[in-house]
Amino acid sequence: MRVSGIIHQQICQIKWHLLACLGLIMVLPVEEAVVNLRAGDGFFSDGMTLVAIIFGPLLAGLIACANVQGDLNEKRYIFWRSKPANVKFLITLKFIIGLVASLLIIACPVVFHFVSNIIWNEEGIDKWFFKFYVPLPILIAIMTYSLCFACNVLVRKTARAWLIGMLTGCFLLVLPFMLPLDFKDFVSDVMIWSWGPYLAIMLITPAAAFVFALYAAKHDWHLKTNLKSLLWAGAGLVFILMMLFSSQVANIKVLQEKEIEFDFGQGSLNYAGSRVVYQGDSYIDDDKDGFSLQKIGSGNVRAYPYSNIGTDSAGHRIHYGPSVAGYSEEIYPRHGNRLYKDAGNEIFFFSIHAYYRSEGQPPLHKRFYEKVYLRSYKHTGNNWMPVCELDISDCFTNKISPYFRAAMRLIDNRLIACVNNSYVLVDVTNPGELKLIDKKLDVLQRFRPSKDRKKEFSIPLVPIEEFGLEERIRLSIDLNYNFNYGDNEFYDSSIVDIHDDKLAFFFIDFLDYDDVARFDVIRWDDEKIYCKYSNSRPFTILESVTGAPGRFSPKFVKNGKLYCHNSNTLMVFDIRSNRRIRKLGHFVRMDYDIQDMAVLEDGNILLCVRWDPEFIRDRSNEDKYYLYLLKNPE
Amino acid sequence: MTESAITIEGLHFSYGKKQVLKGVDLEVPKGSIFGFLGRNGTGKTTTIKTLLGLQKPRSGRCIIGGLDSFTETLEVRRRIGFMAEDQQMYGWMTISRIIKWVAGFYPGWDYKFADELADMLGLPKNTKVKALSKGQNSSLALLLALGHRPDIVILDDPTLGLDPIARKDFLRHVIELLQSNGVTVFFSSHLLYEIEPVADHIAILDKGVIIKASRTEQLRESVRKFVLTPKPEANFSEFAGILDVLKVGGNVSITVEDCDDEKRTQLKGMSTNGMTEVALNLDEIFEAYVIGNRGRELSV
Repeated sequence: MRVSGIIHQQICQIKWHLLACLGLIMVLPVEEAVVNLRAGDGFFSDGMTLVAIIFGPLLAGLIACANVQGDLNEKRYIFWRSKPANVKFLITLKFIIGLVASLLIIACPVVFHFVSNIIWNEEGIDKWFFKFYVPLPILIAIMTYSLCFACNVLVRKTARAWLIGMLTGCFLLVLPFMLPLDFKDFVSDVMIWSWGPYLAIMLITPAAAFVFALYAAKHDWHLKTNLKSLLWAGAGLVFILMMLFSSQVANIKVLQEKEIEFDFGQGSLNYAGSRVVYQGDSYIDDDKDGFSLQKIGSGNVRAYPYSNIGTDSAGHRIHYGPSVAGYSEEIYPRHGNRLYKDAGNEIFFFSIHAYYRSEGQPPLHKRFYEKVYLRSYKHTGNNWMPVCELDISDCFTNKISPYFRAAMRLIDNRLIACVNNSYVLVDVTNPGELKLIDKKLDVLQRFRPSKDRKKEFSIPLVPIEEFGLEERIRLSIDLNYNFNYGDNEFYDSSIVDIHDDKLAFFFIDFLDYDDVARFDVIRWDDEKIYCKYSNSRPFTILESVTGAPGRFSPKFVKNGKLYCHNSNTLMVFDIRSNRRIRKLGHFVRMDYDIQDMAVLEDGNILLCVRWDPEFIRDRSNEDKYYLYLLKNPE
Repeated sequence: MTESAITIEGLHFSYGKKQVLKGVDLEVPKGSIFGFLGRNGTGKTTTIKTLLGLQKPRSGRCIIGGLDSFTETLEVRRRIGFMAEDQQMYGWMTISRIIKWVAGFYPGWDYKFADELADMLGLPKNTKVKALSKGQNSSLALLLALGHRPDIVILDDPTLGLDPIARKDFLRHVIELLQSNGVTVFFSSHLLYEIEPVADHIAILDKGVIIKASRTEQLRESVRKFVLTPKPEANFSEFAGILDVLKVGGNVSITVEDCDDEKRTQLKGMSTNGMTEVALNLDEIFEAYVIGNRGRELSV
């Protein structure tokens, strides 16, 4: 087979298309250069080169179709196929010639930009342009070229092949937004993670399309298409995309939105028995007409510990309640959150207060934690008053401890309060009278799966004999969960799911895996629980994009669903199956800051959000707080 | 035993669920001009495409010049010349360019012979293919099929769309160029009068199977039509080899295959007053095989 003859044939076959495409793509850069010249700046192109090369992928598709259309007409196909031509070689040669032509189309404005800027632009060339803006259209052009080439081999009609190729290209580029596919294993090391799926698609698609085209041409695979069926297929594709899109974002229905008063803290939502308390001063009740806020007690209640009864010389609000002279105070739960106990007509909450003194000047000052108390507070009609206190300072086994970590859980009338690695078990049958039952020092340990998370790992079993095994396992996971990284948030919720007698818990890992992963409790002994990775649900780019302002962390697990949010996005996952984590809902408010969330008795979700005027650069407005009632996705 | 240029054994092919070839068996003797007959849509082109290795059969095999056309496709194509029905070539190429282009595929291309052919066929070398008439287009396709001097030439309805004069010219060229050189010609057509003067062997394809394959002369001799007035007790239903029966008034016209003296005597015995024997042309024979009622009307 004479290669030169085939190359000559191919060049003749596409020359007019190539010239037309070159003419089209050069219009804008040349026009800009002429305008610049007339303005006295010199004959160079600038921004229009970028605009021009964005059209490169479209023109590459045209070249692909023109490249083989001449050979694939049914009657002509028989003509050259009946000759002793090595089809794979022939198609490869044609593919390469067309690809070179396509790249030439993009290269022309780029070279023009480069040369004209070097010669005539005083500022010289923009390196960023060549580093970041040029490679992407080239990669997409290679992809669209290959797709159109393969489509033309299959469909054998230029316009239809171009249309199908372009639509397929768009579909593939949108797909990473939609599908929770785990591309990470093979691309994470070479590119920034969020570009990984694109890179994978842009590399794999041309290769796959080319191989497909080879086989289709060799085996004479072709489809008879008509416009009607193409339109149906296109509509089907759009429908699939919309379905995928709606499964990823904005599929949680807002039932009610209400602006609310805000006083202090972070807009907390905590459980008091079966009810939800907002900011420590209002119950939230939900019925068919929506939710309403009912003040706790008789009237306008100010919540402890911050009150407006006075301010110090620096203008800080003065604490109203027990304190230790000369020491600063840290309270758990933080940000106005509480662990409530609803005792019939009375309502209490529990908190841990740690006191420290500082030595040295900030930022090199050192904290010395010495005192820690467990306190109970009672609502007295118009205020929260401390009613009982337990000194649990010996939980600081190392007095010169640079940290204070706390966790709490209330199980029936038993309160477990953890400080650093120690815990106390307290009888709270009468919350106004805290009775110490047990205390164990240095028994808690943080856990986190190793980098190779598929390795089995263990969690120390909390040595509280009083509870049943299932409750102990749940407690051990909840109390130890990320314990050393920050405050434990599961004082009135849990991260553990129990379904079909299987215990599992969940991590959202943005550092290594970018997914939500399930870990199953596989066995236990007297001292430890043994856990193993089960499966994960990777995040898509779409989730990463809307989730960009902050990392997600599991909020809690309730009734087979995992709830998590970051600053502006709430996500709900179905975690009942040990084979697959399924995303149920996604709620985004880009200019809002999610403060807290709770799930009401009827299943609806309550979300407290802060509208931050910073988002619209409006400093004249103050923050506004809203409560959203959302329909829990199924 | 005659050596075969082409052998087709048990060829089955389907387009999706539609079965096109249902077990084609064929032997094409070396050096023969073999007429491959069939109505439109019976599977002639499918058979040829499969023969060239352009599509894979469900089962069966094709041997061309001793080579399997599916496993040694390229070598088979090097050895044969092929011209498709209503073949389109690259319109923007000149005749000399397309000759060069096709020559690139054949190591044994005979440029001198191709030039001679171009002159003989009256092809202006600098003219673009798109400017050629249909007749010239067919002549060019013939040139491109023969330029490497193949031993076997496959022509798939080559005169499709040509006017009668151009068709005659084309056939004259085929005979001149091929018959005297001992080249095997596999000639597919649905135009019987086109095949009749040139083919020395005939095969009839109907509904995906070969229903008759024979030497042309032998076929003409063996298929006859008899016109007779049947006796009331005459029973034709058990008469072997009836292709077609037609009642005309009190007479019956019967077309019989593999006709011999014994059959003639039998038929005579069924007639009241003798019978008339008529020799058939290929057109009529083809008609009898393809649309003949096989005596079903008479038996009813």
